[in-house]
Amino acid sequence: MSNGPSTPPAAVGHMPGRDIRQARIIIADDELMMCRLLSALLRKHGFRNLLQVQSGSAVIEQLDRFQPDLLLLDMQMPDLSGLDVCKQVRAREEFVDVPVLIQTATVDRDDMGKLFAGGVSDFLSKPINPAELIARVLVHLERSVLLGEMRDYRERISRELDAARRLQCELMPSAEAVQDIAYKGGIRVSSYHRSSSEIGGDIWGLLSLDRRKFALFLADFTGHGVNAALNTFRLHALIHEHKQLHDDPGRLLTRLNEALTELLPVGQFATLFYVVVDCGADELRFASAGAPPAILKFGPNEPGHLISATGMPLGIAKGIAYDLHRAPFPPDATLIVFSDGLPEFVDQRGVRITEAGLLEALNDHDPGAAPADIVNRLCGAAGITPGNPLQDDTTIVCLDRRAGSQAKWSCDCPQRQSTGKCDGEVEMTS
Amino acid sequence: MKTVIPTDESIFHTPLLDSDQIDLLREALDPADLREMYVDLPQSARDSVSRIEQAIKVAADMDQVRQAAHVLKGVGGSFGTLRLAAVAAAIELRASSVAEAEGYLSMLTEVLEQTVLALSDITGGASAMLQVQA
Repeated sequence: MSNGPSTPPAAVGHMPGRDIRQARIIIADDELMMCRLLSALLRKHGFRNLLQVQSGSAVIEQLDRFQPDLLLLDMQMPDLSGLDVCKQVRAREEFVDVPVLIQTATVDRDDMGKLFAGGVSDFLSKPINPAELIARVLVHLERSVLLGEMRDYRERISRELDAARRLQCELMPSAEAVQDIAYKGGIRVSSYHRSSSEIGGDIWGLLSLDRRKFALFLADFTGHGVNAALNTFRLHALIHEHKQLHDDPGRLLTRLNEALTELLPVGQFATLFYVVVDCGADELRFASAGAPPAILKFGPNEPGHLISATGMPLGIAKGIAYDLHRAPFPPDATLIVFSDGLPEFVDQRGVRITEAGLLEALNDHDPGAAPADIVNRLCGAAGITPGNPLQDDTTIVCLDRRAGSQAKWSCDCPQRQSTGKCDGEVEMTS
Repeated sequence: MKTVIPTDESIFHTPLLDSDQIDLLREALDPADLREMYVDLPQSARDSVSRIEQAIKVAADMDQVRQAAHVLKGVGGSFGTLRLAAVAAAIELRASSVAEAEGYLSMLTEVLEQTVLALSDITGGASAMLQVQA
């Protein structure tokens, strides 16, 4: 039997990185002449890795050895029908996406439904039409190659995003750092941090200043995903670069804004709430760059109120000076800082809770609740439940001085829970 | 698409060869491949006819008859031996018993021989020579 000329017609597709003419094709027909005809037609179009078999069971037997990229099956074979073969092939996980084409002379609507329901990719009418055969084989192989490439790409991106997520998680305060600050300040700390996609644009941190003084910051970059996440790395580096300004919120934000205006492309910016918590002086000193207000609550029976500061988000325009603001932070006070993902979350009724709603939820809450309960209460009031998708990256940090001599930290960060680094609560007694 | 079951009358009017289908194959195949297959086609068709005959006369099993006729119908259609495919289709789809199927046997044999002769145009006489040798 002649193998014919070696130059394939131009119609044969060539996918980037993979020549589909290398595809391995099993041709199954109990009539040898049909196998020969199909093989000759495919060979003429450049396909060389062809296996002819004369029964359905032979297809099943050859699957592991031949590892086909496409199956071309006759519908009526004496031992197993093409549909039966297809069902057995589909039952194997590794062949679940392999194109299966069935050749049949009698296809009505019912038959078509059964074929497609059984996992058949397409059918070929009989008598064999050479152009139809080649076109369908090519289109299904190209689709299969594209699917494979998409799957590979997705797996690679998923691995890279996972690595980036772990790295970003490491930007957040470590369990030890939080414990240390909570212990020194005699406070309890609870946090919630969740991205709306694999990685996000929210970042928060704690910076130790002296024994009873530390800084808390929470930044939220525009958008979410990779771009926003890369910017959190930039900001983290910048904040640590300006260590001498950590005790001066206004000047630090002014400096960060100058740097980010240079670094960020037009349209990208960040909100930032930066507060120095001075437990020795019972005082908060803070500055805000377009961040949502924080909630400050004194004592168990006093209603909470919003503390805010005006200031343009970072990275929009140069030459902006950020004002320093002060607020008392007595030993019975609680401070809650959050990104706009919380008040702007749209619940199932299409309603946003807003800052006013958060205050209301907090005031209705058990006045003796621990910080972790407060965070859970605010999430629940906003409609955020575990596992439901977020529209925006969301971060909440609650600092509670009511613990007196006890220091306790809890973290609801899912990433931390997955790594086991911050799972559960840590209680410390000074 | 529903298969049209040929009647005896329609078989009589069916062209022996489907020149359109054969032209399609001629355009799509290497000439050597085409010739080789058409050289072997008569023997393949004889084998199919023989299987139908065996199923009728020896096994007397209508399922076997239909299966063998189905194969001949498929090959005949794809290789453009139209009238042979039509007789096979009548046996597969019209005959309801072995006796009815047997009624088509003489027609089947006659159309087979006509087909083999007609195919010699494609094979340059090779199939006709095969038929003489047989």
